[in-house]
Parts: sequence; structure tokens; C-alpha cells
Amino acid sequence: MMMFKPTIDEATLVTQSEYYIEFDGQKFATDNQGFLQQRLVWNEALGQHMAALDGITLTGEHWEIIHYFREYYDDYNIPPPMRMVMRVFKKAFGEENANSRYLLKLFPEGATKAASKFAGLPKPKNCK
Amino acid sequence: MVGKKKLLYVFEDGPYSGSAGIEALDAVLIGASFEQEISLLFLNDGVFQLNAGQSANSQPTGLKQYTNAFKALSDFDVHQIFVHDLSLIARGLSQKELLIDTRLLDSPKVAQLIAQQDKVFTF
Amino acid sequence: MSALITITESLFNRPSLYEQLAFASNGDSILLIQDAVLGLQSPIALASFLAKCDVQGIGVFALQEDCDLRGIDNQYNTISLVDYAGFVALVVGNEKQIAW
Repeated sequence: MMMFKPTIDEATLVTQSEYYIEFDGQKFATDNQGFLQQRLVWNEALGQHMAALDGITLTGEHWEIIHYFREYYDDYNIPPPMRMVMRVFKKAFGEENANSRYLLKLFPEGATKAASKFAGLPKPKNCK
Repeated sequence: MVGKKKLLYVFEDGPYSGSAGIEALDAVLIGASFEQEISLLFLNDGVFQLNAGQSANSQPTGLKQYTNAFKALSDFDVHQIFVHDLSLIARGLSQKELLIDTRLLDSPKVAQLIAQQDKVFTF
Repeated sequence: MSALITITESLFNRPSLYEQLAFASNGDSILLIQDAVLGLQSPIALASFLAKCDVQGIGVFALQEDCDLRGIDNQYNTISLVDYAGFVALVVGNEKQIAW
């Protein structure tokens, strides 16, 4: 007895979606900006492919952040705030590169938006 | 720079009774990203939002368990979480059954809290 | 002609429900769903309501799924929790269904 609309995590059939990514012989439903409709279908290879579509080759630094986004989302159902991302980044790669300028170099579209996308998460609510 | 505003978000309905809870939480996180001084108040059935042990992820509903995000509030620098004591007690809940650390307020203290705010959003 | 009475709204917002029981008949069943299950958490909130149901011969049920979803721990042994199959059985077992 739910008065509730199913969320995006529920099965969204490719056939119902106007937008999709073709990868590895499969079609993955997305929104109009390339965010996956179903985060559970995500894997690293698909993440790599999604980044390539945006012209980005993922490095270890990217992955550190992308994995953090996935873990955080699994726990809390929201993307992490920037200062937490910075803290994780500092721990992994040291003080000197842990600033927003460097993060923007990694993710020119903005870390929260791009890391969410490549992690297979829905588009963050406060991103355009 | 404009000074910080005191914003209060009031939760008055239980979870899953509509989308008010999710919308309120989104509004809180957006407010937090603008570094305002944010407080949350749980009143009436709103106290059930914080009830631990909600099984939203269980099949077959597959509902997103959005209330888990309350546990992330401190990461967003939101620490002022208030619960109306009578609302809690009348509903058979206690502070230790809640998802996160909260401060209990009696009715006059709730009135004081509301009076101190620049803006109050009720969901 | 027994009826299944469904209530979806939180009983904490329905102080007049006790009086409304005057419109129910012996043999009717009341099923609490959605926000109406919130009341089961309080060991006192529903006591007088349930006592009156008992006197009038009205069975009271609540949907298990909606309790679990909200983390509600049923405090009343006079309220039977039903799954969706039990819900269907209640619908089928009564001539009509009324929403309160």
C-alpha cells in the first residue's frame, strides 16, 4: 500500500527510456545527461566507458573519488559533501593536491556531478 | 558576504506518507551547501522519520531508504537536530531508538527555537 | 453484510476515530494501512479504541509491510498483522469495503 512513486533505483526498462548508452553489446538506460537509470547495473568498465564518452581517461585519482562516491551513496543514499571528498583525497594523495582547483582539473564538469555520473549514481539534486 | 541565516526545517509527517520527507531532506542539504545555520525539528508524526529499523530496502517495494541520509547530516555540518519530547513519548518512541543523536525540547523550548529563526520551512 | 473498513491516515491525527466507531457493526473488520500503522508503536495511544472495537465485535488488523517499512513494533496483541495475501482475504471475506 504505497502512495509512493517508485524511485529511479527500481527497474527501469531500456525500452521505456529515450536515452541509453551502448556498451559491451548491451544497452544501459540513462537520463538525458547520461546518468544511469539503475545504479546496480554499473561496473568499472562501464564507468570507464561513461568517462570516455565525456572525454576523460580515468586515473587512480579519479577512481579513489568514484569509489568513495559509491560507498557513500550505498550508506546514505546521497552523494558526499565536498569537504568529505577533500578529506578522503588528502588521505590518499597528500596535502598538496587536495584542493578544489586540482579536483576541477580531474573533473572539469565539477567533481560532484561527474563523479556521481561515472559511479553510476543518479544526478545529484543540486546540479544542473 | 551576506551573514549566515538561521533556517529551521520542520518535519511533521511520518516517512513514506508522501514525498514531503524526501523533499525536506533535499531542501536541508541544499541549505547546508550554502553554509547557512541549519536546524531540524521533528514534531508530531515527524518523529517517525528518525525511527531506526525502517525496512525500506526490503522487497518487494524496493523503495529508496532515504531516511539513511539523516545519518550523513553531520558530514554536511548540520548538527542541530531537535525533537519535541511529547511527540516522541506519545508515539511510543524513545531517543535511543532514533537513527541519530538528537536534543529533546519541551513545548516552550520549541516555541523559542521557532522564534529565533530567520526562516522556517514546514514539510 | 460485513464490511472491511480501511484507514490510511495517521491515527494521531484522527482524535474523532473513537466516536466514529459508532458507525461500524458487529462482524466488521478494520484494516490499518499506510500512516495508520504508526499508532501501533504506542502502547497507550490505541488502547481505548481497541477496547471499544472489542466490545463491538470488530476485528482490527494492520498491514505488516507498512509496519516494517516504518520500523513499527506492534504493541497490541489484539491487532493481527497481515501480509498482502491476508489483505486480499479480508477484501474477499467481506461484502463491501469502506475507506475511513
